[in-house]
Parts: sequence; C-alpha cells; structure tokens
Amino acid sequence: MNEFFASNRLSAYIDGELSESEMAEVERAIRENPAVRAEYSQLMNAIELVRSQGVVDPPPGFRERLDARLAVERMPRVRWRWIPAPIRRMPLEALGLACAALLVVFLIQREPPTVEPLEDKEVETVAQEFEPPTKEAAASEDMEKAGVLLEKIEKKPAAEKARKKESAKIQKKPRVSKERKSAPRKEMREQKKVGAADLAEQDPLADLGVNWEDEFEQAGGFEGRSKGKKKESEARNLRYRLNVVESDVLWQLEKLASKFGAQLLSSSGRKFSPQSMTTESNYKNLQVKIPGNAIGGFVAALKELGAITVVYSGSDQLYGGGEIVLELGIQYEP
Amino acid sequence: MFGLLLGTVHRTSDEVLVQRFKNGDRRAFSELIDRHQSRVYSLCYRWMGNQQAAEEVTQEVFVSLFRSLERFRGDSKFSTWLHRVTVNHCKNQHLYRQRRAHGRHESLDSAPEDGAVRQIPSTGPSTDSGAFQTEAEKMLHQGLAALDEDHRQIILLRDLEDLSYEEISSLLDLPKGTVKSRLHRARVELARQLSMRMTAADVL
Repeated sequence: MNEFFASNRLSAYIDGELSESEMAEVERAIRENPAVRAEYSQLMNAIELVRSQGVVDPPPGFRERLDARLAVERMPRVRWRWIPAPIRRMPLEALGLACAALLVVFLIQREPPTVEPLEDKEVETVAQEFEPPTKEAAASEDMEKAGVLLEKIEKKPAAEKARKKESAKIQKKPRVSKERKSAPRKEMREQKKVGAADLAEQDPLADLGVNWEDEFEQAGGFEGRSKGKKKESEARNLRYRLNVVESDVLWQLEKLASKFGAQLLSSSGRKFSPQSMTTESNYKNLQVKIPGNAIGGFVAALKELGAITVVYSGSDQLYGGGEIVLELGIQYEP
Repeated sequence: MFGLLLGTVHRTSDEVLVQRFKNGDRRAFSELIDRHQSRVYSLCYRWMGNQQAAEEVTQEVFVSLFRSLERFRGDSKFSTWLHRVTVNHCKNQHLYRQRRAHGRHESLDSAPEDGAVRQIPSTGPSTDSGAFQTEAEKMLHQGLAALDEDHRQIILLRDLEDLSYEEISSLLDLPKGTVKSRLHRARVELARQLSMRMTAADVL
C-alpha cells in the first residue's frame, strides 16, 4: 500500500469503517512508514481533543426563558382547537389548494344560463312568426329568470333592476331550442298540404282588400289559360327587386311562400331556405314555384309588405293551369 | 456523549413522548426538553461559539420543535430529526450573522476620538472570556472556527455528537462515501490548524 492510499484511509481506519484487509494494510503502513505514522498521530490528537469536550449545560435561567416563550406559543393553539385535527395539521399549501378548488366549484354552480343577444330585427321576426302561446310564455318566463339572475349578480337598486329587466326583455332572448324552431316548420308543412283552392279561401290577405287578379293582370298576367286543361304557352314574367335587408326579406318570403303553398328554389332549382343561405349567389336569382291562382295574392302580399318593386316584365315559360315559376331578382343591401 | 444522556433502562422512549404530546400531553414536551436541551445547547455552542448566540438558537430549535412536532411522522428517529433541526438552525443563524456583519463594515481608519479600541464583530465563532477551562480547549475552538462550515459541521456531528456515518449521511442528505471523504479532509485540516497553533504557542 502506498503512502497516498494509506493516508486517505486514516480517518476511516480510526472510525473502523474499512474492510479487514484494508485495516491490515493501513496498520502496516503506519508501522513501516514514518510520514503516515506522523499524520496518523496528528489526526488522533485532533480527534481526541474534540471527543474530550464534555456536554455544555445551558446557562442559568435558560429553561425559564424557554418556558416563557413556549407559553406564548401555546396561546393561539386554543383558539383554533375547534378545527378538526386533520385539517389543523394540513400544510398551508394543501389548505390553499382546497379553498381554491371549493371556490371554483362554487363559481361554476352559480353561473347564469347562457343568453345570446339577437339583432333587433331577428327578435321581431321571431316574435311575429313563432307564436306558440305556451312557448312564448315559457320564453317570457326564461327571460324573467335570466333577469332575476342578472339582478342577483349585479345587486343594483330596485329601480335600476326593473329598468334592466325590461331592457333585457327587449334586447335579449334565450337561444331558440330545436323544438321551438321545429314548431313553425311543422306548421308550414301542414299548410303546404292544403290544396290551392282552399288557399284562396284561407288567404290571410283577403281582408286587406287586395285584388290579386288585377295586380297579376297589371303585371302582365299570362295567356292561353284554359280551365281544367294544362297547356304550355308564353306569358309575361314578373321580375321584382327586393328592397329590404336580405335576411328579413328572405324570412318574410319563406313565410309567405308557405302560406300560399309556394316553394322557394335556388337558381339551380334546389329547395331553398334562408337558413341554408351561404353566399349571395344562392339567393340572387331566387325562384318561387307557386300555384297559378295564388300568384296575384302572393305578389300583392309582397307589395303590401313594401318589400319588392316591379323592375321589368319579360317572357318566360308558363305551365298553364298548373304552376308558374316566378323569378325574383334580389338586391342585397347590407 | 449522547449515550451518557440515555440514562436509565426503563426510560420512556422519545417516540412515545412525541405520541403523548400529539395526544395533548404538554408534560411530554417538557420531558423532551429536559432530555435533549444540553445536547442541543452543546452543539449550538460549539457551532456559534458564544453563550448568547447558542441560547438564542437553542430556544429557536425548541420553539420550532413545538410548532412542528405534530407533523413529525416518525420516518426517522426523533434524535436524528432533532439533530437536523438543530443543524439547520445553526446554519441559518450563522448565515444571518455573517450577512449582518457584512452589512455594517466600518473603516478602521476612522478611529474614535477618545482613542478607545473598536471591537470588530466577528463572523465566525467567537470566544467568551473565561468560557474555556484549558488552553487546549481554546485552541480547539479557534481551530474549529477556522474551518469551512461544511468541515466544522461534519466534525461536530461525528466526533462531538458521536453520530455514525449512516446517521450523518441521512442528516446531511449526502452519500456515505462523501461523508467519509469529507470527514477525512475536515480532520486533516483541523489537525493542521491545531498544529499551527501549538507551534505558535511553543514559540511564544
């Protein structure tokens, strides 16, 4: 064993932390190597000196001073004794996390139902078109609930609350559910099943004093119409420009088409609905497929709404006694 | 030294006293203080080097123990845990005193007008007058003060507190091999310091 190896193991040798063979080698190095022996002697002196130090007792009065401090420490413990021991022993970080989780759960629980604002015209359209009394009442009830929730959250004075409630009724309406949307469509489908003759009797605009036949003739009418016989012939075409905002017009148009047993078609001949409208081209050359005896009432109803004006008359195909295709040129005015 | 404190055979164990304290028996904590105060104070005294600082740190150790004893899970021996608390307090207090002393550097040139000698605060262990009974003890104290903190700490734990390598390894979160090598270097350095001081004393 060389000197370096032995001297590095002297401390462990003194503590008895070497294997038997290492102990024997270090002992031999101490015996045979004067430098190792001198280092061993120095180390032993230092260690013996440290180990000879006895216990140092605390100074007089130490215990009294410590007890006085501990007495102060004991005081707050009594105050918190009502808290269950497991919670009291929890680290502050865990308590903080638990409180935060409870707060999040509480906030989620009291979040009011989602109310999406609709544009004014859309609200009016919905209000006019969809009037199932029970659903209207339900909607009103929903609005009131939403209003009450808003009041609770904002905690404003009573007068302001009432004003906000009214304002909420006008400006906001809960999202229309699928059932509610499907109700008027069902109504439309039922109306479409009604025959053309019945429609004339059921014409809701009849009492407005509109003479649809005159209107139709004035607009061009059609020729070669024979009672009970289908005949293809030339006729005047009616082309109109719709003047009002597109969404409103299309909704009105769909409503009227439904009432007059007509069908809205896109320029490509597919069934058209305002809901399926995606681009301007979809409705720019909109067609209305309508029974011949309902055309006058339909046009008159459109005029009554002030939604269209006659642009020009031209020629087009006519299915006499059957159905007429009415082209509507729609001008989009955003 | 610690072994001498263990006392009678039928003495209640530390762990039982801790459990009694958790159950609300305040006298159990008082008994723990009686049992360990000298040992804790000794370590603090060797580390800090003066009575006042040693008493401050010892009080802090027991107050801290009182606050946290309910969280003691018994993963290690109570005595090992108490050692760890004591060592941490000594280190923190030592660091705090070093910073405080560093923050109030004074110029040696600006001597007081009355010509009195100004006492420069020491950052290491100081010596209380009359605290050492022998010259060797004083020399040891100075030798320990000259060591790095890591070296002083490991010598105190091994040679004064008589902790095993495993206990020191657990206490300081060090591998056993590191404890072995660090202890050797610390002892060699202490021996060198003592040798220097003895030589100087012989010369004088």
